[in-house]
Amino acid sequence: MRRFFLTFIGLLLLLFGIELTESVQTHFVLPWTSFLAGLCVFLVTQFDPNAAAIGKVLWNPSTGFGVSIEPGCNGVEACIVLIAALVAFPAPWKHRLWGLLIGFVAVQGLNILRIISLFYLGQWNDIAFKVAHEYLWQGLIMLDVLVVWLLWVRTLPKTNPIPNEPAATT
Amino acid sequence: METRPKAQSLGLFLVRAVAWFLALTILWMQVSAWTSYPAAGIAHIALGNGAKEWIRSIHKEPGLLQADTRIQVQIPGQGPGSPRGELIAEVDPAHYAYGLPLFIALLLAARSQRLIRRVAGGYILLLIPQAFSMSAEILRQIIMVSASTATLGIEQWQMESIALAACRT
Repeated sequence: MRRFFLTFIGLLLLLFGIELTESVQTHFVLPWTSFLAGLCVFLVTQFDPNAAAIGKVLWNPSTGFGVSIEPGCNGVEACIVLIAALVAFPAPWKHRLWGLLIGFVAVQGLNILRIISLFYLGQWNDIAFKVAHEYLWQGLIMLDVLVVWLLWVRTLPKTNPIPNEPAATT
Repeated sequence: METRPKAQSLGLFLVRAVAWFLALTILWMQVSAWTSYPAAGIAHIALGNGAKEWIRSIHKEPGLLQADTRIQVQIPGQGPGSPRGELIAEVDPAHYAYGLPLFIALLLAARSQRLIRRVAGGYILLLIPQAFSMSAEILRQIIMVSASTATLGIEQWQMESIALAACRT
């Protein structure tokens, strides 16, 4: 348990540090954020003709309300927490990679739901938007990470228990 | 004698956790200014001792941690030759404390035993990262308005470490 916890914390620090480097921001985080914004716009405009997009801003021209999808809203941090938990827990690498792939889809899927829900909440009520944006969705995304990780742990192959050492004889 | 809780499905756990989290977050928002006050107190002590050269005084009240700094800034709307003001950096402590209702929701969803003791222990443990986040944000506001590392008397890596800490908390 202690080893898992220390490895988890160490990986978190390492991965968050790497994420903030200029090259990772330029080549991964910003392109991913733009892609996510485009995907949200595509999804919303499928059922809402009032929605439009300018770059990474999803907005409603009739109300003037818009949400800008910034780094930090892109689910990358939640994925980093998941990666750290997957790698820190003892498991075969093949299972880790599957967990990472499915976990990434689960986290990003919920994040898209988050962005779209915030777009509509903000048009409805400022306070509801603030509460959902700053508190509720933060917790729900982390809960999503936790559940994905727990599901993944359940799928791991059972390892043979270490046999007890024979008692010392005198 | 303690008994182990019955095995429950993960789905049921998730439903309970989400329901408790939503209910507790709404409750917590009514008292968050007070529950985050001790974390603001820790940040007050940390900043008061660790950043004396930058911070003149710190004021805190439920819902607000405010640092009167020695960092001189241009007053908005006035020219370069006009008198300069001093930066006041502030944070809302509750903004960094939303982990508490999530933590309690997880305990309740898991039907944790010795609930009160665990809630109290978790609350105390969570104060530390919350205080760290508040301190990092105050320091970030200071370095954002400062012209250079020379003005602040720190190295480049120290400035980047503060920015990193504030961005990631």
